[in-house]
Amino acid sequence: MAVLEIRNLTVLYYTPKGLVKALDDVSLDIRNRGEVLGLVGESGSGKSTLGYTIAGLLPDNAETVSGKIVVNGVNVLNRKEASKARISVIFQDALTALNPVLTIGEQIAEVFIYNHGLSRKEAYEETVKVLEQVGLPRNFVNRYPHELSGGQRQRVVIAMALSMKPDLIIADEPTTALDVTVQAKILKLLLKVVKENNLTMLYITHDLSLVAHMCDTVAVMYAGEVVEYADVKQLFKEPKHPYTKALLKAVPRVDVDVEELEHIEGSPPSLINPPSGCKFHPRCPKAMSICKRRKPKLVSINGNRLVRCFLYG
Amino acid sequence: MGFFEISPETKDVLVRFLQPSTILGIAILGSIIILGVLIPLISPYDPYATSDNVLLPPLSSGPAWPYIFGTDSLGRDVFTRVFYAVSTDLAVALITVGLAASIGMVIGLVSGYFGGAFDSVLMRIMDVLISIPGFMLAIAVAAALGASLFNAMLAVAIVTIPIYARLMRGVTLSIKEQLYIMAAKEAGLGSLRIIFKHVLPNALAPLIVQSTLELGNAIIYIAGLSFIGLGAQEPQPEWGLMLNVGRKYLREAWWFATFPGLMIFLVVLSFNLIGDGLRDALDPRLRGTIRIKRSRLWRFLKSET
Repeated sequence: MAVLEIRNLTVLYYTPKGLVKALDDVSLDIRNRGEVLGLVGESGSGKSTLGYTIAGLLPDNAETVSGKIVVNGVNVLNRKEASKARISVIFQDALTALNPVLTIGEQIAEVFIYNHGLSRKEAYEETVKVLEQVGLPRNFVNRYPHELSGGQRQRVVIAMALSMKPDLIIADEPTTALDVTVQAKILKLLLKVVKENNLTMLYITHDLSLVAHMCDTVAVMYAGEVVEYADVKQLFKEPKHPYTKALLKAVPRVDVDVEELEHIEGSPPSLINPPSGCKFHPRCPKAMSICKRRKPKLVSINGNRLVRCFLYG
Repeated sequence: MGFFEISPETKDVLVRFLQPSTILGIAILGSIIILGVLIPLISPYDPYATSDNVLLPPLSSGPAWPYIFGTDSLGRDVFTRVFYAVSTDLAVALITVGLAASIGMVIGLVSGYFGGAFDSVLMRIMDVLISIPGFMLAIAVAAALGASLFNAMLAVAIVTIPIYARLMRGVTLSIKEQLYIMAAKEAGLGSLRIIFKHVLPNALAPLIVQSTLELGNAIIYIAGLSFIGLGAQEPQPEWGLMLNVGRKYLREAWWFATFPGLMIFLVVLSFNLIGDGLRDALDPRLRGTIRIKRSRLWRFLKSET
C-alpha cells in the first residue's frame, strides 16, 4: 500500500478577481515508507497548496472540487476519517508556528497527552526524549519560543512533528527563514531524524539544490500541474520536460563558469486565465503548434518516469 | 546582579507601564482604597447614624473640624460616608466588569473561532444590544428588574457584554489564522482545548486593558443608575445616590454633592490613567514607539542590569 496516494486532485480558490485553479488534476504517489519526495516549482505553482490540502489546512476560500488523497489507507478528504491520519507539518516560519505564551515543554507534551494518551509524567519524559533527538538540552522544556534562536525554534518544530509519530511529514520550505549556515544544520538534522525513524516526507521547496540533497524522488510542478516525476538522480542527470531543463539551467553552479545566469522567459501564467493547451507553451523554447491546441497527458517513459509533454508522446 | 532579579522582558513591560501618568493613577486609586479600607478605624462616626446636634445653620455643618467634609441633611458625616462608599462602588464595578468580561469573552472566543452561521447569529444579537444607547438600555433593564444595587449591576453587565464580545471576536479572528493554531489543529487537539489553552492566553492583553478602562465606565453607569434612583437605596452610602440627595441642597450646602462627585471623578480618572498605562505596556504594536520620560524609577530599573 502506498504511503501517500493522490488521485485527480483539483483545488479551487475563490478570489475577488475570479476562480483560481491552484491544483489541476494532480496525481502523485509516495510508494514506500521512508521515501522523501521533493515537490519543486516556482511561487504559485501550487506546491504549498498541495501540502496544505493533504494536511487539511486549506484556508476558508479554497475548495477541493474533486479527487482523492489517501494517507496510509485513510482518506483524508473525508471529514470523519481525517482525524485518523497521522500527518505532521513543518512550517516555513518556526516563530509563528509556536504559541508565544506556552513553554516548549507544554506545547510538545500536549501532543503526547492528548494524542497518545500518556500521563503528565510520561509525556514529560517523552518530551525530553524528542528534544534530545533534535539536539536540544533537557532544560529547554521550560523555555518560551521568544527565548530561542531561529535554528532552535525550527528544531522545536521538528521535535513537535516527531512527537506525532506521523505516517507522513509535510515540510514546507522549512529552512527559508534561516541563515545559510543554520540551514545546513537543520537540513542535516531533518534528514537524520527522517532516516532514523524511517519516516516518509513530502519536502516542498523551490530550491533544486536542496532537492538533490534531501530527496529520493522529485515531482516538478508548473501552474498547478505535475509536469515531471522521476527519481532524483535521473532527473538531474537527464531532465525531460523543457520546463525542468530550463529550471536546472537557471541554478547557479560553483563548478562551471558562466557570464550570465540563464533564465526562463516570461513569467508564470495567471491561474485565473491559464493559457490554452499546455500551460507552459508561451514560455517553452520547443513549443509546437499542437501545444497551443491540446493539453498533453502525463505519460510514462522508461518505466519509472512521468512527463507531461508532447515531445514524448 | 541586584538583590531581586527581573527578566529583560518583564523590565521592558514595567518601564512602559510605569509612566508618570500611570503612577499618578495608581497613587490616587491606592490612597482612596487605603482610606476606604481604614475608614472604620479613622472615623469616629457611624455612616448611618443621624444626629441633630450638627444640623447647624442653615441645616448642617460645612466642612470644618471635626467634620472635614461637612455633614449632610441628616447630620451624617460626609467624609465617613464618602469613604464607606469606596468599598461599595469599587466592588460593584469589579463584579460588573468581571461578569460582563467573562461572558463577553466566551461569546467572542467561541463566535470568532467557529465562525459561520453561529458567529452571525451571536454577533447580530450583540449588534442589537449595542445599537441601543447604553444608558437607556441599562435604565430599561434596571427598571424592569426592580430598583436595587444588585439589579443595577446586572443591567450594566448585560449592556456592556457586547464590548468584550466584539473585542474578543476580533482578536480571536486574527489569532486563529496564526500558524501555531493550525499546528495545534494538526496535532489533533479538540476545539475547546485550542480555544481556551491556545487562543485565550494570547488574547488576554487587550481584554485586560479594556476591562480596566471599563471599570471607570462601570462606576459612572452604576452611580448614574443610583442617581436616578434605580441603583443603591437610602441609607446606603453610594456616590451616585449621595450626589442625587446633595443635588437638592446645592445652593445651600455645596459639600453634599461635591465630595461624592469628586470621588467619582478621581476614581474614574485613575482607572483611565492605569488602563492607558496597561495598554502602553501590553500592546505589542506600541512596543518601542512610546517615548518614556526617564524617571528615577527607570534609572533604578536600568541600574539593575
